[in-house]
Amino acid sequence: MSEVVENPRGGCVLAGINSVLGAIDRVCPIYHAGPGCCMQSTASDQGQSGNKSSCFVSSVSIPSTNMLEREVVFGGTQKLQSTIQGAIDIIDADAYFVLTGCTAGIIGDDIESITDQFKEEGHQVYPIDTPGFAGDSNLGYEVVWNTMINQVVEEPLKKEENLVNLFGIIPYHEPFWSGNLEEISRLLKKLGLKVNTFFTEHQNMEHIRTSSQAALNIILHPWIFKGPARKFEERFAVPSIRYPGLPIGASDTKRFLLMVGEALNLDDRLVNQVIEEEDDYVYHYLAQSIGTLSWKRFAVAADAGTALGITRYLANDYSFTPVLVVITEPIFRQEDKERIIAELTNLEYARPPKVVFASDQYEINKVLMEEEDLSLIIGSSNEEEVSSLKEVQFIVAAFPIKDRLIFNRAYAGYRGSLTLIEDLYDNL
Amino acid sequence: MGEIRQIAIYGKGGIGKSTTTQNLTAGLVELGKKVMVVGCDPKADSTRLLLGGLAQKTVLDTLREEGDGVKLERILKEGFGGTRCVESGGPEPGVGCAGRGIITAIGLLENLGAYTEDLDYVFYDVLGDVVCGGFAMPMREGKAKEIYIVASGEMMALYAANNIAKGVKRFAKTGGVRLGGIICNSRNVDREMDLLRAFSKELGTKLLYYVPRDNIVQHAEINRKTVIEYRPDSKQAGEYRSLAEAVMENKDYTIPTPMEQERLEEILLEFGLMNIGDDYKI
Repeated sequence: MSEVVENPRGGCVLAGINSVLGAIDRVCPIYHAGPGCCMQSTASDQGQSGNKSSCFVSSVSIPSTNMLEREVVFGGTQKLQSTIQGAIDIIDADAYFVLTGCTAGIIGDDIESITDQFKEEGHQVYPIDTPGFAGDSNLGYEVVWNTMINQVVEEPLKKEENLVNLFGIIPYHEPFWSGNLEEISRLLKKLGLKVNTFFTEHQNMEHIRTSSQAALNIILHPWIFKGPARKFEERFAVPSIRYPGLPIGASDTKRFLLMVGEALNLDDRLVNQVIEEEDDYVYHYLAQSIGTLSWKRFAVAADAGTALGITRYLANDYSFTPVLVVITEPIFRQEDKERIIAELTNLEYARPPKVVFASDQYEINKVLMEEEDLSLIIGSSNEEEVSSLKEVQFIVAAFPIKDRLIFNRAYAGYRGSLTLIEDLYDNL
Repeated sequence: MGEIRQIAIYGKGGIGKSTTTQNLTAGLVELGKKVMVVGCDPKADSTRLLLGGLAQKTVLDTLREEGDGVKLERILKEGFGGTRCVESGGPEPGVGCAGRGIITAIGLLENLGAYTEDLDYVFYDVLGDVVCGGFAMPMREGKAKEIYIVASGEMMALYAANNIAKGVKRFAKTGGVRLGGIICNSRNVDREMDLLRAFSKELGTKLLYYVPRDNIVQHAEINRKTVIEYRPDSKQAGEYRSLAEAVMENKDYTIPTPMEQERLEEILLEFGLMNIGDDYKI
């Protein structure tokens, strides 16, 4: 049985799917759901992500069947058909994805039979038959990619040796997704690579269709994308490497670039040259404010990808003392938990932090309150209250973020690490 | 005029719920009772014998075709002896939610004022098992307070009956629903009456009536009539009249005590059902 969670981070799987689709250029979700789902699922994910939402269609502008009792009793496929037709008539999108809310899922409407009719007429209409109750926002990311692999990605006509697909940075569910993708992409381009981020630079369905031509998938996340990665390998012979969490700062990003270089057999000289240039850029600035950077005993409460990146950076590059790391999303596989713990116990710091897996805000607050000797908390908007109770320095750096405007701000990579430090010392 | 006795009839699919309910209704009507039968089955065949055919327009068909302004006279038809007949109907097979359809239909009947004070009995004839919340609707929210389960000596019928009893028990706490007894619609299984008595006792109820098997029931059905209408003088018509009296006079209502699977199988073993294979002869 599920249990009650205080302040869940994000929404249902529909919210996650909507966020990912909303980040792809000219893609239109169509909800086969009850009234309110479009708005709520947008609010619960995109609405808590640094005041930035998808703008092609979003929230109340998303077409929806608004299923009522009539659709429940008699089935809602007829209404779905007219809703899809209406969407095609008035929204000029490259692709339409039909999403099922809980209501449609429970009565078991056969949405594929409807989307097939539109496909036969030459429209790009794809069904995603995953009802809202199937899981949370994180699952939405995998559901979208499974859908893409099954229905959109084409057999590769050729292989591009310098093309990579970037996965694991989840649009909106990671408020710094745009900036982080841009920074990682900038670095990979310096290595001579072409990068499919899918969500930046107006990349679109065409990039997804041809993603099978890539030489490598790079997953920047400690646990997500296991299933889709396997499918990419089996169907399109695209192997994957997993970097556990965001690379932040000189040491971490160097480790990341070396990993990519090794996986793609890149020229060592090139890789090292890029690392040297970027190191120089970062340390050139840091050298100018050495006196400002005081020592901290810190706790992080964030999703695993962000928590690992920030903890590694502050412990390894700054010798801040990592006291506590709270991983705030539910993680189901033991192997994933072990990978996360391994990262946090292999820091270049003698004593590893205490690691807690907790999604419930009450529990998160409790473990933070129990750490007496903290001087910095890095978390989401949800940790603001506990931080002010403890009277310690606090910065908002993880989802949900309600009180910042975030366009292309990045914490990832070399340049992002400087921004993180700027934010850290912004309220001196 | 006393309170309307609202009665729901449950039982395994194909056990004879509709046949039994309609014949029982005919028996009550003969005794001067005012009865309404509400078919709660998407197949809409619960009132066929009372109406002399499947002429009935279902509540949901009417709702689908005519929208929200449904009039009571469009969905309520008068059948044998002044019986009021309603079929909830349902969506096309394989689409929508039939369970929710039952809820919608019963809600609509209430709003349209179908439950008039002159009624003595309302019967809900509900399909098969209580597969979801919708099919439990007749026993929820103080609608039917009495439940009868139609069963036979066949194993699957008893499994289903036990399962239905679990549903009754669930709603007994909140809705005040009670089990009035088991009605055996005989399949001529060995020691059927003994088995049904033992089963009923274990379930914390009683075998209300044993309806023997008689082919005249099938003849009547082919002629779209209840036995009471088709052959009023037959022995089987008398059986249904006795069943009607048993229901009328019944005052034993209990909260059932459904069995664990093991106990149910023990009872079946005790009455030889599990050993049928041993003396199988052609």
